[in-house]
Amino acid sequence: MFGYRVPAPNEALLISGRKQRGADALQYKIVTGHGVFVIPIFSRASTLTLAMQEAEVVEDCFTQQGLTLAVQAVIAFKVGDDHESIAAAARRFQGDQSQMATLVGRIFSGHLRSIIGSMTVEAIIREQQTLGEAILDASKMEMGRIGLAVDSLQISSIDDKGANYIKALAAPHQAKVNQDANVAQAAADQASAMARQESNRFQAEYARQTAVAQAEYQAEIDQAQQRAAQAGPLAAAKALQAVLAERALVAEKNAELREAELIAEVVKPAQAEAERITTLARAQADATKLSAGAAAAEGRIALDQLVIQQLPDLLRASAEGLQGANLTVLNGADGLNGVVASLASQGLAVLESVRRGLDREAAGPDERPSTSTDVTPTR
Amino acid sequence: MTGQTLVGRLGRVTTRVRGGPLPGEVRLVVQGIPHYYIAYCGQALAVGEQVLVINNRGGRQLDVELWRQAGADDDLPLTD
Repeated sequence: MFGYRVPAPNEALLISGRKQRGADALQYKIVTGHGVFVIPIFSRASTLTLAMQEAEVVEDCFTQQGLTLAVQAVIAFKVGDDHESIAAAARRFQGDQSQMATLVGRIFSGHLRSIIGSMTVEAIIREQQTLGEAILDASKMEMGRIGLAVDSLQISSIDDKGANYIKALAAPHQAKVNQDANVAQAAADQASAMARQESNRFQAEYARQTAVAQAEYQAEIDQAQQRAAQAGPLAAAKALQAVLAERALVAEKNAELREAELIAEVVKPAQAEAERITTLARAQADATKLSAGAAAAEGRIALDQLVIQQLPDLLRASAEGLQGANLTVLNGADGLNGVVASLASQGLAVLESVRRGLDREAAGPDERPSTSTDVTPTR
Repeated sequence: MTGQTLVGRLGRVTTRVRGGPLPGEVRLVVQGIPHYYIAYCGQALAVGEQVLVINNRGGRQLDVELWRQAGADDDLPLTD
């Protein structure tokens, strides 16, 4: 208002049109942080932003090892706060400040190639100080000349375009980590298996103890049940035993009674009958014996006569039996006499035996009743 | 603020100065605003060392020298 201009905190006011005093003085006046009169028509005021701006750069770069990397970087920059920087930047960008970021990005593409080219992949990833120095050498000095201060340069991503270099960098560590993880997993599995097996062992042990205890209790129960089950039959058997004993007594009494009855009814009469028969038989036997004796005495005389009549025939038959035999007795006169004497004695013996046989035939039928009467009942 | 006003100021190294032609970066606070300049020095300077600006090369580049001052460490905070 009325030619008084106040720049914003992030702006520089450039006033041109008035001659500046001093030999090395700028041809225009730079005002920051406070207001100033701008005389209309004679002077002209324009602003230059001092705010931070950013430019994004995506560039294929070669590392120190010759590896191709696709690098994406973000650079944050601003116009320097000192008058020298403002003046340098104003000369370059005052006309079209909106193009500042684009221009800086293009400039910075070359710087990025230079930065990456001076480093290895490992240094880019790990060494922040080396990266900062590389940025300083490659970029900040040149940017300073055009009045720009680089506040920050961040590499947001790098890609080795399928070369797997970065992956390979991680491989040893990855393998180590995997190995540790596998070892830890195996140890955990081992501990788990041990615990599980131990648990199974304990479970089996407990089951065994339970089974043993159950079997013991079952055995006791069975024993008691058997005892209980046999108590009934046992009592019944004992009762039956008592009954049988009583029955035995009854039977014994019955037997005694029967015996007494039999004795009274059968034995005594039988004994009496037997005694009667014996007596009768004895009397008959005696009679028979007497009659037989008489008959034998008569029969023996007749038999002797018959035998004597047949004796010469018997001797002849004996002699004929010896006639066939070609026997020679060498015993002298005595021997011959012995043969004759023996023949005579044999004839006598034959005679005796024949007579005895006849005698037995004659006495046979009469002797039988006498033998039967010898049998007497014992009761 | 002109380039001449930087000479004589104290700053701190933020990116190590490797010495000779290889620069580092220093932080200067001028009129309450921190500025980051490219710094050269004859000797190597580690991060955090206090330096004195002895020359302004222009184009945001300075010459600095190591500046060790007893009890002066608290004058210039490294960060805001």
